[in-house]
Amino acid sequence: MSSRFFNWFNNRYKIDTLLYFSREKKVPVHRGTIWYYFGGISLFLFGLQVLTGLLLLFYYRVGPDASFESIKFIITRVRFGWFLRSMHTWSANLMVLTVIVHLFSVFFHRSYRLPRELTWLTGVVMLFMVMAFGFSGYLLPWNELSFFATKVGTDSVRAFPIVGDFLLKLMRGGSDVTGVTLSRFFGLHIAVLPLLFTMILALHLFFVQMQGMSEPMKKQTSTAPRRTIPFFPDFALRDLLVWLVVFDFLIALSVFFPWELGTKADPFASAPAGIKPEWYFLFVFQALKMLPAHIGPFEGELVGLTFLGIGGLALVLVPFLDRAAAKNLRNRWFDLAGALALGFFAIFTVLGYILD
Amino acid sequence: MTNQQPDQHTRRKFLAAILSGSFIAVAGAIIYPIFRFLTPPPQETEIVASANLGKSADFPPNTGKIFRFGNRPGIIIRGSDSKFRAFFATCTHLDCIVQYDAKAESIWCACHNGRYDLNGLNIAGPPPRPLTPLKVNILPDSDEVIITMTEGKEV
Amino acid sequence: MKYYKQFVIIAPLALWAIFSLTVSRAAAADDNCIACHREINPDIVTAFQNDAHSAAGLSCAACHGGDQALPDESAMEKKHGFIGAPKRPDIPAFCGKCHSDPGYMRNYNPSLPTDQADKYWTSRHGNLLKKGDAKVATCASCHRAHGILSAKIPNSSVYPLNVPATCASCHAVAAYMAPYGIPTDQYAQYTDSSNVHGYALFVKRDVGAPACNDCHGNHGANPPGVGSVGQVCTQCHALNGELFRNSPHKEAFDMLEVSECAFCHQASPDISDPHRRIHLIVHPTYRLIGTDQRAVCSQCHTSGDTGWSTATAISTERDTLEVKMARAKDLLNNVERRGFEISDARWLLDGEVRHSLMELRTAVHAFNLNSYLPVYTKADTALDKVLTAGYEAEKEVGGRRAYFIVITILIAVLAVALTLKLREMAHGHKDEE
Repeated sequence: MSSRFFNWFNNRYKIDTLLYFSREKKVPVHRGTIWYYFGGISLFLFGLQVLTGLLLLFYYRVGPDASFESIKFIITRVRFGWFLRSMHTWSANLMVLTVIVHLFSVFFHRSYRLPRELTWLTGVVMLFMVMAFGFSGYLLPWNELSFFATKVGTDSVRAFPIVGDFLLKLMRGGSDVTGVTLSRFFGLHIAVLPLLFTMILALHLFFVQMQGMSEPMKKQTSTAPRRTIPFFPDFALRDLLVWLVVFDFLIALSVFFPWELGTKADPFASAPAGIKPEWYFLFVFQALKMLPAHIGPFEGELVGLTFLGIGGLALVLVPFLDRAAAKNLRNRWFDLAGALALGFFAIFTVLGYILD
Repeated sequence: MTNQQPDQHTRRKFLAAILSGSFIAVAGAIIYPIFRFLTPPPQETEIVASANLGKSADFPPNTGKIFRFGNRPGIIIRGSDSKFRAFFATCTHLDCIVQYDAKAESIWCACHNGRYDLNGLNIAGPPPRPLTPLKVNILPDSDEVIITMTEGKEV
Repeated sequence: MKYYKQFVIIAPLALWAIFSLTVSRAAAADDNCIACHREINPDIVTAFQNDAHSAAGLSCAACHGGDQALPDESAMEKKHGFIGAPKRPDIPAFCGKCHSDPGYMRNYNPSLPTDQADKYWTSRHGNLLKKGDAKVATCASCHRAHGILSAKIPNSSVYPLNVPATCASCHAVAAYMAPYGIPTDQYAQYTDSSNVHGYALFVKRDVGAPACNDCHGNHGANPPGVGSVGQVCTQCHALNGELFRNSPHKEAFDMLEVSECAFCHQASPDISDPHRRIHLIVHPTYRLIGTDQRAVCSQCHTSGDTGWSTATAISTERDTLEVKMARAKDLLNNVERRGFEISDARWLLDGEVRHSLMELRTAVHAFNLNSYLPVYTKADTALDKVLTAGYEAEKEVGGRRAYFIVITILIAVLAVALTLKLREMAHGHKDEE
């Protein structure tokens, strides 16, 4: 029966070459193979986000008088509403974590080297978009925590000279965080970012398909016979297995640690003590907090943000900066840079939690 | 394809059956909540916009009754003139629940002796503001009393 | 049109001249008192600019006499009716010249009472003034002399929020009050952060809250008699007062010459000095009734008398209720945080239960177990309903866990099947090699 379906399509669209190609796709098996899964997990989680997000969209309403109430409605009155909302939020957090792990594993394996520079580029762009997803989505419940976290977070762009105020107004849709900000973030979160992300993701996946999986440099230069397994169906089924485990883990988190709604945002109340952004922004927040008010003739925050900007740019340009990798050579300085970056991220995230 | 022993073959078939069976089961366990989620719950929104208080004949003149409007108390009064009036029953002084004083034909708050007239206006005692009015609608056919928000107000 | 150009120039000038002359003429007519006294008494003149009398068009001469049209000191001659600044004992009559004349006052504010002077003479201040004591308060002491504003204006010295400070300007100064032998800590007690009326007035800005004048009277200020304090409180606390009046305590308190409501509701009541903190009325808690040290009953009652057993019974019941209340609040918060629907339980807690507890607080004032118990039962029943609703919601937790277990089992089965399939495929590939 399936061959009849196949023939119907094949007569019209010539897909057998595509199938041949996919049947031939192989995944190298080596000590580092386990890291291959993280890209797939990120993809799975993105799909989950889209699905749960679409479902939540059926009941979510935008507006300072409606957002909080609609989520309260979802959580308390819609059947399994609490579940889908918690899944969406947990999955978001897990996705950020997974993407960061994916980034570092790719980095330390130098998988960004020739010929995969654009794969890295699209990946880093997606990382920034994932953080934008997180930042915009966080405001949508319009509760106390998210309101003030957004306020503090958007405030930081004011440090930029000349364009700072304009950027602030652009982000907030005005001088303050209001319902206009909410609409703006909502549009960003459900339309602009998903569209852009899907396009870049498609490119990223296309590149991976075209070029196959990158192998560790040592492996690539060795002459020993390569062990591989076919992607379809072996690795695909392993992927599915991993996804099932992740899925169950998410369900466990949602059932045993459901997300609270908190109290509704009151723009005229003062910020609660110890307001913090989401954990993946915490390292920036904490680092900026610890900078002195002035460094030389410049404002401390500006210096911090500039360094951050330089760091971000360096991250994007890694394949072009690491010349050695193009020749399959390991430049230890990049290992050090990566370790420092990871350490900085970890340490300042922890500090952000334990200090006030 | 190598030759497989007959029991290997049945094991293979068994495994395939388990595989497809459990796959369908998991898919079902995912689709079921999604389906239930999409089915709208009985109360359509969080914000309650109306309350049905039954037949108007059940309200004798010069009586008042407390009712539930969403999560807030309301008071409905049928005056001696048989006219209906309804307000949010939260006193504007310190949020006690007011009551109807039939003897004085006014709304009274027991906490600090505050008093409102039948238009909700604060006429005696500490209440600083009038009561928030609600709209009384009487359906002509079924004679039911339906309370709604006054126009242009959100809860 | 021939003289159009000239007209356009001359006419505005002429108009301006006429206008300024008439205005300055009119001002000059009022200004003579002010013109001089602005230099001599600048404070008084400034204060008078923001005064209810000057707003009504009344000038200095309206109260002090004299002829305002005269530009020099001849304006202040007796033949022009000049009175000057009245001496303290004469102030009530000075103000009463107009304010006790209903016919005259009708021209300005028909609804303003005209009995202030009469009331004043019945007050403690008035009595002492009649006897020749010039230290006591007169009209000008509270209302001020030249910046007199209606009590409805927020910066008036007699606006409710300002009344305590106005009274305290004498009553809180120990040196000034020394000859009178009365305490001077009333203001301190009233402004104490635990004072419930002071808090309502100053912090919550509730002008309905009682300041000094609401209990002591305005112009007829006197401390309320010990037996009538209750009546005064009853003006707002109507039901509590009514129940108290009909309770055995009324007679007892009157006999002991102890202030009714104020004795129990002051901070740390002490029967040996029953009016020590009579102005420090604190927010009552349910612990006020009982037989332990926090309660007030043991000030008079001892173990064995009826009062003691009633107090014990009431406080025991109330304790159980309090424990239940805490449990209910905790339960609902817990449950709501985890996303369960408990609006019905909340409605009960915030509505029926809260209302019942308020009724209970009032019912206590009958000091009668028989009338207390039905109200208590109502509160108890309502709380039980809340707890039931909370527990029902909590049961749903089990439902969620059940769903989790079911899906985990299904996923586990699928995962195991997948693993076996993979292993089988690996063998298949090995066989193929």
